Amino acid sequence: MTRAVVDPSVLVSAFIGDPEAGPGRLVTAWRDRRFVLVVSPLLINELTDVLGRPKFERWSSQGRAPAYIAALRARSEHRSDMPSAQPVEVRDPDDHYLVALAREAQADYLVSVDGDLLDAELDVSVVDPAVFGAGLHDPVEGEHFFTGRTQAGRELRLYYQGSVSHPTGVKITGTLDGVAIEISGITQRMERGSESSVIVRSDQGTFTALADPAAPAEAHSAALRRYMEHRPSGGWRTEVERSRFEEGEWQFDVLVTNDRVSATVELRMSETVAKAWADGGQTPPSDQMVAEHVAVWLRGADWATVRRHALHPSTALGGRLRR
Amino acid sequence: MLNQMATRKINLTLDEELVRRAREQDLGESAKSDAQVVEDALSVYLGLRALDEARAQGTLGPAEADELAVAEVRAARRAHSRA
Repeated sequence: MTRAVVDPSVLVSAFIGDPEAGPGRLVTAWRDRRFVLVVSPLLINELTDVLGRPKFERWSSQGRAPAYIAALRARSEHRSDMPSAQPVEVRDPDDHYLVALAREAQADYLVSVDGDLLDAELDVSVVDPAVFGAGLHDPVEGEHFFTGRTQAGRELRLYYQGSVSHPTGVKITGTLDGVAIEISGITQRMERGSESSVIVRSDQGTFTALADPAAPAEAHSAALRRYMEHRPSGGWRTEVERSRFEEGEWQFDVLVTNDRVSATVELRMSETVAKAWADGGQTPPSDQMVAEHVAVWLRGADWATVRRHALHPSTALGGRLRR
Repeated sequence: MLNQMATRKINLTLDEELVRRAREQDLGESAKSDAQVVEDALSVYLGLRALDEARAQGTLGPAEADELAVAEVRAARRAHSRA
């Protein structure tokens, strides 16, 4: 069963907020035993402290907050807090104990509504309650995330199965005009900023499908995005698609992809830079050298950064080839 | 501290099936005593009622609730950190 450390801010928000909002739904999922809540003494003390503050008296009075917290404690997995002498990896060092707890407990998720935690790049999956809820689906049926039309006018529906916190373990299934097909891979191709099409490789062949504009907004777009935009641990795969010499510059169109999403980054360089890179060898540099350079350049970049680079040509200003 | 609450010894006679079902619902923690299983089940029941009652006092919109919760949790963490 999914195990999660939940930031007290989520549990506070659930106590005072709309039951249908993300935090409220998370507590409902806990009530329905759809995941295991992992807590520590510090987490419980913090929740107790916060709900005891005067701002929450309207909700907390008459013993309601202690009863709520006692319920959470009664049905949760209890862990010790980690020593505080930990490397700080989040913007606010005071948040670190939650990361340490999630890591020590090997939790599937750390759930938070705090932007500082959600934005941090960690080896722990930090998600907001809505994404967390989307991940608590029935693993057999899968979650629908795409409806579109192929170029032949057939209806394509795509589903994912698995945990969005482990994108490499996600399985994509689909139907074509209602008939199940085996999906071996999907790639979302960015074409002039549009992300509304996917290239699907299946036992029925490879085809492009455009999202159905009449389809309702996808409830699981966040989960899909996590899957699609997953940064490979070994970095993005790069490949020069085209090179040319125009207006006194060498121009390379370099495909950047994780085999799910792809974009073309245009790299330009002057003849002088091309010669410097070639270092007495072939001019311009070989496609392989350029692809390797872009791979190193974008190694730590997330998909949003790759997309930004794809919008405008980048110019290699000089120096040696980065490898 | 909630885990330091005063306890009172009481004797109850419970339906064995009820205790068995409560234990089944308890994340499979077989190490718990029957008393602990029943106490935890009661805690969850009362806690969920308390949550309903709290919400009956009026709820905030999602953004407002998150914002207030984050602000107060951060304040608590700062205070704890300074202490």
